[in-house]
Amino acid sequence: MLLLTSCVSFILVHLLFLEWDNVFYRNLGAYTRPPVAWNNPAGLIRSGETDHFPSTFWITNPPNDFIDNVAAGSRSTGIWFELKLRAPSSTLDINQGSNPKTNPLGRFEGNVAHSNNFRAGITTYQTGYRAPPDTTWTNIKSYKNNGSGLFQHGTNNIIMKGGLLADNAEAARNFHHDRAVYDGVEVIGRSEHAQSMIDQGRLNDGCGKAGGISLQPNEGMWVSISFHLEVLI
Amino acid sequence: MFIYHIIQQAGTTIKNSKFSGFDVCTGGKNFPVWYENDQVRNAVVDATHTIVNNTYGAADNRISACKSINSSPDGDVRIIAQEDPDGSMAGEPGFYIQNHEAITNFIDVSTCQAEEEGSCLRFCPGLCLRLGIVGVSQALTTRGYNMIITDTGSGASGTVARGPIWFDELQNHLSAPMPFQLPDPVGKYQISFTDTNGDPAWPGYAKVNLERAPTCTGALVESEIEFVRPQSDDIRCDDLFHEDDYAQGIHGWQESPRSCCFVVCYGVFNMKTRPYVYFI
Repeated sequence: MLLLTSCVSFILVHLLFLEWDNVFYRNLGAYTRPPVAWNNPAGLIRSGETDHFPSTFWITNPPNDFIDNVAAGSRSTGIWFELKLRAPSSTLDINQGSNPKTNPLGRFEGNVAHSNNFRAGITTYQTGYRAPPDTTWTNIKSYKNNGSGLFQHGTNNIIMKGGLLADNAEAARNFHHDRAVYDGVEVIGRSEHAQSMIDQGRLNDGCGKAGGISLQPNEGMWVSISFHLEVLI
Repeated sequence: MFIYHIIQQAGTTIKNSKFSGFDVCTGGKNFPVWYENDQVRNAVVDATHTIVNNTYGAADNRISACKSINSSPDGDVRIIAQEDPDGSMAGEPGFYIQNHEAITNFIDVSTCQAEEEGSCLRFCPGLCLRLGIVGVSQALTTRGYNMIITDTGSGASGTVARGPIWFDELQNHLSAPMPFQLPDPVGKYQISFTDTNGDPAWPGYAKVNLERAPTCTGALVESEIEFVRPQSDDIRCDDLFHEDDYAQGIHGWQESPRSCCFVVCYGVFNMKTRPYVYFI
């Protein structure tokens, strides 16, 4: 499927999620809102669903192409890789032996997430993405988000090549993100535009909050077990 | 001009990037690069990060570890040191270091710059440190232990405490990490341990794991480290369930310092709940 140049606004629940080999090209999704309050998961259609944290692009399986899309103004996240086996799709023949959490990503290029309210413009939290080596996000822009520009958790091998992280509460949080790479990224704590909005009283002054890229001190979490020759008695 | 060849390793790599807009606040200071404080398990650093060929704003605004050191929910992080391999952060190659005796006692701190405000790190040009983790038993018996590192050549000494245990401390088949960041020694490093009373002790076992070597030349190698064990206590082999109490859910094993007999493990394999005996 090729979803080309669409514009969708005022969305309740997650938007734009499909399974395999689709192309999302130049789509705009905006003003995504939850159907129930974030603190009321009991109001969800099914237990375990996450519609109370709606993302505009909800990626549940990586092998799809996302090119030049825009996710703006979600109450929660802009683009969320929520990669886990979930019924009924996990029971389909096409998905047997496949784990979204480790599947290779298609092209992920030129996408933009801005003005999103919770956690991050783009995130892999939860449940993390154990991506194959050399998985690359090219020329991604994430700016003016209330949380992180990027929030990577329980994740491996994401290379951010080029792109922009600007005016976020923190540029990128690497939260047990092993082998993360930021290559040629422009990282702006506070842009001139954000400063002008602060000067006009249109934006809160977040001094002390606009952190850059974080380094996770403890990636292995240091849980080691020693083994010895076993002789049962 | 410093030449640096990047080899992708574990940890985070930040390269060829441009940082700006972190110098505009007059209130709380923002930093382009900062050490995370959330979910820093066991309050140790076990990752080496590569930060190379980037551009920044003001010279006194590069990197901060204050959140990790002062406000980490799992315990304040110890022994942080970050290499600047090409000098693109500080102007010349070296290391940013935390002010901890287990680092500063082994280096000439007079060559280091003053700590940047709000960074909790100071830059030491030309310094070459290597991260290592000494894993010891996290059995309850090792609570309050200290690791004493001594350079036999210079006589310099530093102490690292066994920190809090993030994972279930009763699962004492796991290791408690005791980190160090050390330069090449004058002689050799001898590592010994003391118990809560300050007496020489052995924490069940101790194994050193050096993280990947830094870019700088002359880094510490494993052959320059040796453990100093106290005299073996023969009653130890009469008490292999030492302070373990399966009925109370305390699981684990211990390794003899001189392979005297056997070790016991409980509930490790296949999640079974009966003890196994391992001959070593």
